[in-house]
Amino acid sequence: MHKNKAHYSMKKRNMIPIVITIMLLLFTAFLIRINYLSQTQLQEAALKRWQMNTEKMASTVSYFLRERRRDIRNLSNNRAILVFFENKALGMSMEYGLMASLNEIKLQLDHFVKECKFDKREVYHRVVLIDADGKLLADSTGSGFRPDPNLNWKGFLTPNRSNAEILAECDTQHLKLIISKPYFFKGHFSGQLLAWINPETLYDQLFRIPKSVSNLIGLISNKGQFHLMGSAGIRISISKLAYFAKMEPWRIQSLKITLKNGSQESLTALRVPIKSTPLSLVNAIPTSEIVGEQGSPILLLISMGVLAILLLGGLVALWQVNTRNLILNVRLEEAAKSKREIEENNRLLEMEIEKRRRTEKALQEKEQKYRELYEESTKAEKVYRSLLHSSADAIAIYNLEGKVNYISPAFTRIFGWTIDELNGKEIPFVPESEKEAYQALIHEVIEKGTPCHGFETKRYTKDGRLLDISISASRYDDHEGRAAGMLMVLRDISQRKQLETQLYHAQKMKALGTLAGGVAHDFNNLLMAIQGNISLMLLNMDPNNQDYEKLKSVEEYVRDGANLTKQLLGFASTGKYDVKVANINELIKKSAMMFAATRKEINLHEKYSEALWYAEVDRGQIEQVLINIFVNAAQAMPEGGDLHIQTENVNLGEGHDQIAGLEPGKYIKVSIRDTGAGMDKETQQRVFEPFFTTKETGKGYGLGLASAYGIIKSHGGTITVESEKNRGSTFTVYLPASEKQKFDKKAETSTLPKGEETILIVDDEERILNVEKQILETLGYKVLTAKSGREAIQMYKEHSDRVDLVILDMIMPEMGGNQVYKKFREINPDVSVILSSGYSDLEHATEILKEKGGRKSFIQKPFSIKDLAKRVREILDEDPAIPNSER
Amino acid sequence: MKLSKKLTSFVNMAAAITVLCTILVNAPSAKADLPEVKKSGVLRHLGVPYANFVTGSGDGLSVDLIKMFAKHLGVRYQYVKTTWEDVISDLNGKKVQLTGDKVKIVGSTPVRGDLIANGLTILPWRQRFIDYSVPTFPTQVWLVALATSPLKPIKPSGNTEKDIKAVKSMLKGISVLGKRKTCLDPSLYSLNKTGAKIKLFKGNVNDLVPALMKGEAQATLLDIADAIIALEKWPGKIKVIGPVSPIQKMGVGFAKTSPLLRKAFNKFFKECKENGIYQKLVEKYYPNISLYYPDFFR
Repeated sequence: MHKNKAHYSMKKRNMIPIVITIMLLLFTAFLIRINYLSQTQLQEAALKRWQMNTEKMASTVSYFLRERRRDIRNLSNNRAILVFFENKALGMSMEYGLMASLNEIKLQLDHFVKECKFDKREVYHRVVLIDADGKLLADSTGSGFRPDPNLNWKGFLTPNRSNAEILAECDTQHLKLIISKPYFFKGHFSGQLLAWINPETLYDQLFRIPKSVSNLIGLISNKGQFHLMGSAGIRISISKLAYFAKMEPWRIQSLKITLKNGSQESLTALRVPIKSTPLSLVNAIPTSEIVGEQGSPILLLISMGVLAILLLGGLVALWQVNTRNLILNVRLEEAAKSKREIEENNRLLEMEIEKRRRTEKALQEKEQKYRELYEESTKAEKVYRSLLHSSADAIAIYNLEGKVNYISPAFTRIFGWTIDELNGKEIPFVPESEKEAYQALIHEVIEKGTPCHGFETKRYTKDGRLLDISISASRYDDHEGRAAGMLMVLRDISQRKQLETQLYHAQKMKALGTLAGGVAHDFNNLLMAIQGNISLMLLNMDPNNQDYEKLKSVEEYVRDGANLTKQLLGFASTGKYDVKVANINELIKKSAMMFAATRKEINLHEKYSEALWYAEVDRGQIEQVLINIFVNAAQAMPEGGDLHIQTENVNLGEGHDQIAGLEPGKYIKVSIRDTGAGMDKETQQRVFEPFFTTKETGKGYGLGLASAYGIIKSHGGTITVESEKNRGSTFTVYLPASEKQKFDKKAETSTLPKGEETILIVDDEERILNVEKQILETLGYKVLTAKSGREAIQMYKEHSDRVDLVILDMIMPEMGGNQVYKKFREINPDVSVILSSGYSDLEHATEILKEKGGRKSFIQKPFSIKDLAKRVREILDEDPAIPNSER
Repeated sequence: MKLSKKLTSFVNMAAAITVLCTILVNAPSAKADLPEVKKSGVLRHLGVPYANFVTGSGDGLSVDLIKMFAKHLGVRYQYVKTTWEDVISDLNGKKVQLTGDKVKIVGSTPVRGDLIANGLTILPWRQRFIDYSVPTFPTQVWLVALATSPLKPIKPSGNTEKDIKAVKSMLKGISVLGKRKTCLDPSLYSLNKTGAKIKLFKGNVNDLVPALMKGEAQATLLDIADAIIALEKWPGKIKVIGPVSPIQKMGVGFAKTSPLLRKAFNKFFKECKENGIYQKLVEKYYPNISLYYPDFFR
């Protein structure tokens, strides 16, 4: 029972698909029938519509041709044709009148062709008029038409017809549609009008076929000739077209045509006669374009059956597909798992790639950093190299073996060697005497690393000059801190050394001058007392007195003594008293002339700068300097020789132009060069020292050049000597130039000038005071005396209104002359004063003499009565408005 | 007797030459040469309405041509209407009397124009008083009759002289209209010797055909240009019998004192022919004339 039930259930289950299948088949059959019926109706309707369109086209052509017949009828009524035949009928000849009428017809025909258009295209190709004999009278040809020259015009004559006819000459290449109309003049057949229709106009305007439709349209003449008007999409060989000419009119036919490409095409064709013409229209179209691609309904039936089978097969296939889907699901699970594993691996791989990318980026950043460091290091190297190159001091870099690796441009400039000459070598510039000290220095610097600063030594240059050098040296290390070599800075201190030597000499000379000045001061005071007393004695003594000559001799000795002290004072740089603007050239010329007169064996060579600056000098002292140098030269040339004198202007600056002891500025340079015995170095160094002489004892005191030195120094200048043994000597005097112009010297008087003014004499030496008082009183002056500064000030306060002049000693105890002078100025700013001194405090006296206001002068002890009388008168007669420095 | 005749002829000729010289010498100076025209700023065109040369409506072949010439000269165009009788006098200031082939100066008259242009045929008697430009238009005088006339058009022989002779041979007793002082003057073609009844028309040349149709004469002389127009106007009403003159030329007339103006026109006309402008003008007013004289308009 259970088995039957199961069997029934199974059988029931197997029946369901069968039932479903049968129902499907029935439903499909129903659909096929419905579809078949509807398709059949649609095809019939399409064919009907197509047939109507074809008939419509034929009607259009018929209408078109009817219009053309009307055109020709109108043309035959043209007046020009009538005129022609009228004139012809009158018997007129072509030559005399008729030709013009004929030409008018030609113009009318041209006008007809041009104006007769259908949708902007010319309808006619050609229009002609032929006479009754078939002779061409007028011809008008339109564009694009080639007339047949062999036409037989007589064949066109239709004298027995009256209406316009359509003539059709068709072939597969050309359609010739001609409207032919006989022309009758006064009832007589007179000619024929013929008009060729442009077939392109006909086709383009009447049979426009959409490109989407494959169509074939042609015209068939009554002679059975077929002309293909157009075939859109159908390419058919000409020989096949003849078939269409045989088609029965009005019946739709199905044709199997072989196309040009060899394929078979099923066409539906229809031939429709065109009313009132000898033509029929043929329209052929692929059957599929009318009834559709499915073809006949039977084909549809078959195709639906196939569809049903396919549907059943599809169901079976669907069951199988379901089973397979289960298997596929399992496989998909496995594939998904596999995919996850791959994705995990991909993720790990991406992490690895990211890690590597970061590493690479870090490497790039490091590389960039190193590149920047390298660039900085390169810049630093350039800076250091520039520092070395730009150093004013010479720089040399040695390796540990004492070989040179580098020398600076300054080294080459100072010593002469280039790096190419010294590279890897020792520098051969260490004097023998310095080698031991140099080795010790190397040892200290290299071995102990002790830097050396300002080590003064000497070094040769490449050309053999010996320079004073200051060395600073230090050891340098390589990048690992190991000793690599020595850096040595060498400074040329030759000039400094020379200046130091000159300074030392100058200081020594100054000390000697101070000593000499002190001695001379006291000595002068003694001489002043002697000189004064002798002068007074001689003044009142008869020259025939037996003591007169003795006193004169004493006076001569005193003068010699005074000259001696004068030399000493000159050396002491204290004797510049009578300063005036002077032309040094004139002084030299005067002195040189005097000298030359006494030493004929010496040849003078003078070269004076024409634009030599002026100088403010004590003319007497400068003359003395010149004479002393000349005398010294003469003594160096006992057998005679040449003496070269040259003056020039020089601008002394700092550095190499510097002369020891001179401030930078303008100077007058006087060079006196002899060709005498010359001097060795030791003599040169001592030549300006007082009492230094190479002469025999008693032939000189050794004060001449010392005095010259002192005098020039007191003028703010200096004097130098250059000499070589047996090659002569050159003394060079530098005097500061003055901006002031020379002031004319007043004429000197020979007689003793006298006066009556009141003079105050101030001197701490009573003997001097007495002598001067007596001299001045002898000269007629009223004299007041004061033994000290204080007494003088008191006295001047009391008698300032009557004291015309003060003779003031500069060197006094307690209160010096300069202080007393200041007090005098306070009492009377215009006080007149003659400063007096046996020593002459140059500094204070010069200050006073430079001050503005009052009349001032200086007189050197010992002085003669003549000197005093002259100086006193000069001051008293002087115009107080003229500055003292310009006198 | 023969010697006497020759002497008489010689004397007559000498007298004629003397008269002509007197005319030329004493002719009032027509101050209308090129400089005067340019100075006055106007070119005066003497014209008689005739055929399509001067239509009378402000245009015509001659009118268009002279307008262009005035523009070429840079002066204003002025049309001066005149008559066939006065056209020469209006140009040169001399009144002329034409008797047969003899011409007499009978007085003076004001100069009204600078040139004549209206299909003026170049005739020997005119050339005594005026100068012509180069030929501008060909012509021929035809005999035209009513369509109903018994006169029959000749059959062309190919020889103009023969054709003229054939025409003249038919004129005995036929009344023929002509126009004095024009190319249609019958005396120029010795028609009086043919036995024809010469009738000199008083009206305008353009009215010759209407006069013919009114029955004033059996035939009339027309030049070819006028004949063609008439044939178009009255088809079937008139017919061309044949020629009475050889082929003639027309030109523009200038006073003999205007050589520079004539030279300027000749140059201008040559340019017009070369650049095709003149051909277009001719086609406009005489579309058929080139059929008869293709060489002239080539």
